Amino acid sequence: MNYYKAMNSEDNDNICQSDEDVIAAILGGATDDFEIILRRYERYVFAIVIKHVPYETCQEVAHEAFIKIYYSLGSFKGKTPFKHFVATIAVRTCYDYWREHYRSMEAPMSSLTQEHNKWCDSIIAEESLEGFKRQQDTKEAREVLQWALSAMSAEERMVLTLTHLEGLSVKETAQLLGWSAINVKVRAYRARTKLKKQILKLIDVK
Amino acid sequence: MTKNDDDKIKKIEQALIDSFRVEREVSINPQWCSNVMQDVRGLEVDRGVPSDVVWRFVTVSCCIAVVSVLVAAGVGINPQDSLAGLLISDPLGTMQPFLW
Repeated sequence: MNYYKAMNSEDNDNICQSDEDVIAAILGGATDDFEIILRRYERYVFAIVIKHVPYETCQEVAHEAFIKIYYSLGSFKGKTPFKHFVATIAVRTCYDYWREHYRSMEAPMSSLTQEHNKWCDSIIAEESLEGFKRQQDTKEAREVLQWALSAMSAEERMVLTLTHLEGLSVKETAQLLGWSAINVKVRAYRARTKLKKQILKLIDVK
Repeated sequence: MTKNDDDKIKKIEQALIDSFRVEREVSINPQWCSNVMQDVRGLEVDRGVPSDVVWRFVTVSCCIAVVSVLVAAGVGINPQDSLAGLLISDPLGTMQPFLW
C-alpha cells in the first residue's frame, strides 16, 4: 500500500480541531498542543520509518522526525496537506540516518546462513503463486533484503526503497527527497543495477 | 549472465519487493510519547516570522531606492551641484572666518 497517498478522509473523521488550527495554537505559544499532532501522526510516521531503518532504531528515528516536525512548523504554509509535510520530514530523517550510519561496508556473503540459501532455492523452485506468497513474509526474506541493501550508499538505498520497492513515481520520490527528477532517475537506475548484482552473487554462490 | 540467471534474479527480486511491502506492526513504548514532548518543551519553534519581515523590508527598501533614483533623474537633481550651491551660498555662515 502506498501510505504517502492514503490521505485525510478516514483519518480525519474523529478529529475535532484541524491540523491548521493546532499548528496556529502551537505557533502562538501553546507548546503542549503538539501532543495532538504527535498522537494524530505517530502511527503514520512509524509506518514510514519502519520501512526504511532497522526495527530497533525505529523509535529513535521517529523521535527525531517529530522534533524536526515541531521545529519546522513555522515553514508549513498549508499549500499541501500537513500529511505530505509530515511524510517528507519522516523520509528525510530516515535518509539522514543512513547518511550518518553508512560506513561503505558491505555485509559479507558469510553473514548469510543456510536458511537464507534455502529461502532462495525455494523462491527459484516455486511455481505456484500461493507457494510464492508464503515465502514473502519470512525472516529470511527480510534479512536477504537487508544484506542486498547493505552494499548501497544512503542515496542509493533511499531511492531504491522509494521507487523500486515501494513503487512511488519519480516525481513523488523527487518531492520526498528534495531532489530533481533526473537525479532520481539516474540514481534509481544505478541502485537497481547494484541490487541485481547482489542477487546474482547470491545465485552464483549456490 | 544467462537467460536462466535473469529469470532467477527476477524471481528473487520480486520476492524481495513483496516482502518489503508486507505491512509490519510496530509496538510503541508508552514512555516514547512523553519523551518526545519533554524534548519539544525545551525547544524554540522556528516560526519563520523574522525571515518574512526581513524579506518584506528588503523589498520595500529596494522599491524606495529605485523610485528615488527615477525622481532624481527626472527632476534633474544633481548631488554635486546641490552641494556646491550650498557651499557657495553658505546659509549657516560657517565659511565666514575663511573669507576676506
